Parts: sequence; C-alpha cells; structure tokens
Amino acid sequence: MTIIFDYPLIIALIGASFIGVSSGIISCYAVLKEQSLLGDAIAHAALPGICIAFLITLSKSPGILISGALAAGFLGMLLITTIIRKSILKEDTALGIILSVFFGIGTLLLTIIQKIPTARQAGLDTYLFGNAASILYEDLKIIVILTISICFFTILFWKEFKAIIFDSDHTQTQGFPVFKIELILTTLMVVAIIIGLQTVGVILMSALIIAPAIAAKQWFKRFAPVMVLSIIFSVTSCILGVLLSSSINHLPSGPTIVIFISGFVLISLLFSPRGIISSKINEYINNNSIRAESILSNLYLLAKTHKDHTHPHDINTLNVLGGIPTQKLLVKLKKDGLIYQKESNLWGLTNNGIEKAIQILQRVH
Amino acid sequence: MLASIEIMLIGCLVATAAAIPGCFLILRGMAMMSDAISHSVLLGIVIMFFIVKTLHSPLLIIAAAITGLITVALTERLIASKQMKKDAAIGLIFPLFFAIAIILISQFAGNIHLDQDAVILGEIAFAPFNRWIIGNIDLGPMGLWIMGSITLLNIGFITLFFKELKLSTFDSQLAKSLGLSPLLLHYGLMSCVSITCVGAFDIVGTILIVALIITPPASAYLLTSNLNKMIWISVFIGCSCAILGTLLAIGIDGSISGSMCSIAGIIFILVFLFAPNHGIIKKFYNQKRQKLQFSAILLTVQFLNHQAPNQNPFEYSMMNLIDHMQWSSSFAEKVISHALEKNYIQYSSPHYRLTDYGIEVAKNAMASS
Repeated sequence: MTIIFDYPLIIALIGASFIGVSSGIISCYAVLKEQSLLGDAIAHAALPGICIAFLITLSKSPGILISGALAAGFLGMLLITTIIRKSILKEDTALGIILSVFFGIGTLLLTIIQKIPTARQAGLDTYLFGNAASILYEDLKIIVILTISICFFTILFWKEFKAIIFDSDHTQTQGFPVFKIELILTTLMVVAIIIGLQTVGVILMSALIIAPAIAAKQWFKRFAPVMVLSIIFSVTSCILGVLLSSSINHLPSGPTIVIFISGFVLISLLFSPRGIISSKINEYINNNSIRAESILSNLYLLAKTHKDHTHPHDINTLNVLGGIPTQKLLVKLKKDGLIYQKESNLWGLTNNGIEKAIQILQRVH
Repeated sequence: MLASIEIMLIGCLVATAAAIPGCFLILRGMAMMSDAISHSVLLGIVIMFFIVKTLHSPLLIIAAAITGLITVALTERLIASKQMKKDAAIGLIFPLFFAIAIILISQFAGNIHLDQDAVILGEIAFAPFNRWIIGNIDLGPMGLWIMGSITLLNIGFITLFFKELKLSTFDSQLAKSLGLSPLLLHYGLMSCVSITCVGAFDIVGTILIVALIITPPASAYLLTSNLNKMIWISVFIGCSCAILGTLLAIGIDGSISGSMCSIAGIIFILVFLFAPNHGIIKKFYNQKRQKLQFSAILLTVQFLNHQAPNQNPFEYSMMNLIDHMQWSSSFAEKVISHALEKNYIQYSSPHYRLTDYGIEVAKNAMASS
C-alpha cells in the first residue's frame, strides 16, 4: 500500500483534522451531559435535510447542503425535546422515533433523487458512509469556518458550558441564562455533527461524538485536559482513517475512522490508570492484604486465650473464622516475619506479628 | 398487482414481528437497544456469508442473532463496569460492529448481492422474485415464509411468557423476588429483537426496521395504557404502515421501506397531536380548562374576601377585577363567563355578585388550602 500525497488527499486530511477538532470538543459536552445518543439521532435526522436542499436547488454546493442538514438537524432536535417534554414517552423512544423516521424519509428522498437524470452524479450517498475524498476546496472552507467558530464559542462560553454540564440547577440559581446557554451548546453540537457527515457518514457519526470523550475521560479527572486529549484522539483517528482509506481501494473513510477511534477507546478502557486492568490489579492487591490481615487477627484471637501469645494453632481451625488461607499467603507472611511455622499445619504469630495484629484490631474496632 | 400484494403481506409480517417485542422494549426504556442490535446483526450476517457463501442459509440468521446478543452483552458489560453511562455504552459498540461489517463488505464482497445500499434500504421490491420452489410447486416468496416463521416465533415467545414479561417490565424487583429470572427473559426478548432484525434485514434494511420496532408501539402507548391493547394497536398501526407505505411508494415511485417509515412517522405525529388522553392538543385544552377553573375559584375567593361592611355584599365591577387580580381584560372576561356558566356568580347590573353556591365553593377552596 502506498500513500500519494496529492492535492485531494491533502484537502481531505486538512478537512478531517478540523472535523476531528470539532467532534473532539463536542464529544466532551455530549458525553458529560449524557446526551451521547442525541448525536446519533441528529446525524440521521440530517439526511432528509440534505436531500430536500438538493431537490429544491438541484445544486450540490456545500453551503446549500449543509444548511439543509442544519435545518433538519434542528427540526429533529426540536421534535425530540417536544416529545420528551409533552408526552409520556421516554427519551430513548423519542430518539429512536426521530432517528428512524427521519432516516426513512431521507432514504425515500434519495431513491427519488436517483431517478432525476441530472442528479445521478450528485453523490448524495457519500453521506451514508462518508467519503473523505469527496471533500472539495469549497467544502473545506465551510468546515474550517465552522470549526473555528465552534472553538471560538467554546472558549467564549467555557465557564458557562462547564457550569451547566456539571450542575445545571446551581447554574440557574446563580443567575445564568441556562436556557440560552443550552441553546448555544446544542447549536454547536448540531453544527459539529453536520460538518462531520461528509467524511464519517450519517450512520457512524455518532461514534465520533461519543468515543473521543469516553477514551479521554479514562485518563484525566479535570475537564480541560480531558477535552485536549479528546481532541487529540479524535484528530489522530480522523487522520489515520483518511490515510488508510485513501491507500486501500474501496475502503470507505467513515468506518475506518470509527475503527481507529474505537481502538483508542479500547486501549483507554483497558490500560488507563482507572482502566479495567489496573482496577483488577488493585482489587487483587486489596483482597490479598485484607486476607493477610484477617489471618493475623484471627491467629491473635485464637492465641489470646493462651498465656503465650505466640502459641501456634492448626491452620485448619481458621476454617470457622472465614476460611483456610492459601499456602502462598502464609509463606508470604512468614517471609515478612509476622508468623512462624512450627509443624506442617501449626502456625503461630511472631512478636512482630502480635504487634501488627493488635494494630489491625485497634484500627477495626 | 399480485407482486404488490405480496409486498404488502411481507411488510405486514415484518411490522407485526417488529411491533410485538417493540412494545416491551419501549416500556423497558430500551428502545435504542433495537437500534444497536439492528446495526450489529450486519456483522454476523457478513461473517457467516463469507463462510457459507450464500445469503439464503439459516446459519446466517443464527450467526446474526448471536451477534445481536453479543452486542447486548457487551453493552451491558460496559454499563456494569461503571466507566460510562448506558447511552454512551450503546453508542460505542454498535458503530464499531457496523464499521467492521461495512469494511468487510467493501473489501471482500465485490459485486455480489450484499452491497451497502441493500443493507440500508433493504430490497422489499425484489422480495416477490425470490420464490421458494419445491419441484414444480411455487410456494410463494421466500421472504413471506421467513418473516412468517419469525412472526410466529415472536408471537409464541410473547404469549408463552406474557405474564412473566409483563411483571418483569413493570416491577422487575417483584419479578426477581418471585423467582423469575430477569436475565433469561431479557435475553429471550433480545433474541426476538435480533432475529426480527435479521429477518427484516434484506427486506427493509437495517435502520428502517428500527422505525417499525419503535414507532408503532410508541404511537400505541400514547393511545392506551393497557398492555394487551397496546400490542394489538401497535400491530394494527404497523400493518397500516406496511400497506399505506407500499401504496405511497408505488404512487411516487420511491423506496418502499422509506415510504413505510415515512407513514410510520406521519401516524406517530397524528397520534401525538390528537390522541384522546395523551395527545398534546387534548393536553393543551385540559391545561387551559384547568387554568380557567382555577381562576374562577380564585374569583369567588376574591369576591368573598372583599365584602366591605358598607358595600353591597359580594359585589364587584369588571374594572375592579382587572385591577386587583392583574388579569388582562380578555382573560378576565373568559373567567367571568366561565364562572357565570358554572353558576358561581351572577350579574346584577352594574355589578357581579356571588351566588350561594359560589360562596360555598369559595369557602371550600379556602378550607382545603
């Protein structure tokens, strides 16, 4: 496989990196506001907007298609909120209805568009799976302008956005116009999703709105570093995805990007300090130290009845006090000089061990 | 003509098979799980397709249903790990599976039947051409038989476990304490959804089946609060979508499955607006009505409180009213006409005065507050 850095590829790469930036930013807000699937619904809802914009103007100019997508995205968003607010239906039902019905209308319109002779080359179906190679200079201009405005608004409303994400009620009591701030944030979210559609596609765009922040959240607790890392993850996977898909025939860019970003999520979930592996290790260490402490304190409780507190006991007696400890653990305690072995099954506390056991019992009680 | 009737029939079967588990999904707050399943079954279909090299093998359905269940299990594992919320977990797994499936199709499936458009749109229009022929006997379209069996399977599962499903849906704690296995029921239901998605996959496509799973039951839920009725109504709505959708598609010469979804959306919006109990027009009307009733009672209290010793008791002019209650004059007129209608007050020129009934209402209102 060879990568030829020609003009279209460079345009696609620049476009993809900007999309990476905008979705990396928005991802943090979407995930922390627990609106992950909203991105999925908006992305699907944009499809009929693109089709209608094309049907009305018969032009493929990016400005027109993106305006159509934005309008439909907003309409979908509005309907979802209305359904949740005004009916007994739950949020996920509302999302599912809007997502599938809008997408259905979109596919219906697509089949109609395909029958228009002049429209055959319109290439609207690139919006389904995404094709970075279809980014032209005019598309790039719009992507860059919109991404920069997303960055601008994020910095401008940094404090406000953070406030409503973490405690929207408190924000309201502090006199912030919560509704207006939410509106701005939602607008940014819709814009970020729409500009990604051409590269990642309607169906998979949700991954780019969810995955970067999930991966980044594993590494940091503070909001700003999470956002920076989320942008890095998302830009990297967009660039890698576009490079790989341009070097292999028929490889659509959207799914490739999704695979890369999912890879980042997997690595973060497994290997981060709060990840699955390290929490399993911590669990193991904790369990062992708890078991060791219980051996010491149990042996002490048994020996306390004798004059000599180092009096050894059959280890099987511990069975009634919460189970027989493993040989490995006993050997480890012996190495630490806390217990000694008299015969094969007879174990007793050393003087150090007694001290330790008393400490443990004092701490517990 | 026969072909379009066959299409309608297959559509009705798909809609029925989808609506039955759909009702439970909606009530359990797992509607988006169907979206996840319908996307990820594609991976199972694609992988099995590369193994058996045909699209018409029951192995495909089994593999796909298993992928659906794996998606559910993985999603739940992620939720249980407490690293992320439910919606994020759903949104992580299925795009990955779908992306892998699309890449496999684009790289290895070449020019065969399994292309990306078919995955999205389904090919219900071609369903009548794919016939099941034994010897010389034409048994009808294959899709009809497949969807028929899946529908029967779903109906069977729901009838068999209706009580258990109902209980675990509405009170999972009680169900658990009575010894029902929520896990088994959950995965049984998820298997139904998976199998339905697979069966519908080459008929209406992966995404549009979601419309048929969620939208008709959601509409039915707005119409009734009885689970039995809800299932029947959603099946009825689903079948209407199938029939009207086919007619619409023939009329405008577009995608059949797309039209079915559009009809489903239209029906939902109509129900959402006009449903007798939960429709927003009815709700809006009720709200107005309540506001008027409340204001009328407030009016009686106001009348009662403002009886000056020298004034003719219980009298009030329109101007006074607007001034004291800070109502707009049009709203005040509405309230007065409502109060007159309810016989709280009466008009004795040039003032309004409370009736005896009005006095009672006012006193009751003050006592209960």
